[in-house]
Amino acid sequence: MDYVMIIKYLIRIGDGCVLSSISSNNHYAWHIVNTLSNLGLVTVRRVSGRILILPTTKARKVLELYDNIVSVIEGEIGALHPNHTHPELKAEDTIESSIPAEMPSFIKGNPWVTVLKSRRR
Amino acid sequence: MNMQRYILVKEKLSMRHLAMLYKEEVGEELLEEWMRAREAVRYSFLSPVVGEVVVNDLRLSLPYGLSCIVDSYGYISVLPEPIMVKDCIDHDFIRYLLYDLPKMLDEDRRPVLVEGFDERFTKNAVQGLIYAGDILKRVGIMYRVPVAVKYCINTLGYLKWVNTYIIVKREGRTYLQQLPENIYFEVRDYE
Repeated sequence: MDYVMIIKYLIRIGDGCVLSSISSNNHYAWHIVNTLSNLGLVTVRRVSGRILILPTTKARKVLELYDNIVSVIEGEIGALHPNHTHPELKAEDTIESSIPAEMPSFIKGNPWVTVLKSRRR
Repeated sequence: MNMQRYILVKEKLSMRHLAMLYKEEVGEELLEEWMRAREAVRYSFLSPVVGEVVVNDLRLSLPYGLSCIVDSYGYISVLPEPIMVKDCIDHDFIRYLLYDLPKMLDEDRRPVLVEGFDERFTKNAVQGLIYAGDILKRVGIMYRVPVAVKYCINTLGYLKWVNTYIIVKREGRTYLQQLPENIYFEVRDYE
């Protein structure tokens, strides 16, 4: 799991949550919890039949640092664009961005490309 | 814009089919029609068809685009019933992917499944797989359908898989590994 995903799930866990709040998929939720637990970021407790996921001191420290990063970024964006609070939603990519008009370099010279030309003849 | 409008050459190609091709694949005689087709489909997105990868009682979503299935045990199936790319090799395989498959998708958009992807070329195999994979990727994007290839070796760096699903056996248990997230799901084996 990469660091962005770790922070994402630490934010979701917050001050503690039940297992199902992490993911409705039980297998996946355990995968996340085990990964975070191995990193020393969460502890697991069973209370009245419920599984509680609680952040450790290390996790709280990570979230504090994350909050600092966010405030630095928001400060910079605010200075450049005073009215800017959130990035604008982008329109979906066009076909051109997904399927270029011209053949990519890794296909040029490929012997199988001639199939089309032979078909046209 | 009516996407079912056809351009008549020696055979009928839909706008979407024509726009899926590269400029170099089209050739001079169809260049004008190809440019019109690209413009026509530029902002015209079909609603995505989402399939499912099914292993016993486990179901994972199969998004549109090119995905890879590495399953030498025969556990994985795809739902809804996919268009099975017929057993053909070499030039016939490329022709099928470029001409026949898009035509089928013009009529009925469903997931596409290619069995034995790495056994489709008797010569220039690596170049063939790269080109075939690129065509399938374009098909998946243009028609917004999941395209899954069953593949034994997943080493072609040129092909950017949306997802890869791998059946892994470890200590008597069976797992479905999903990349790029690298998540393992345990598969319950039925006797």
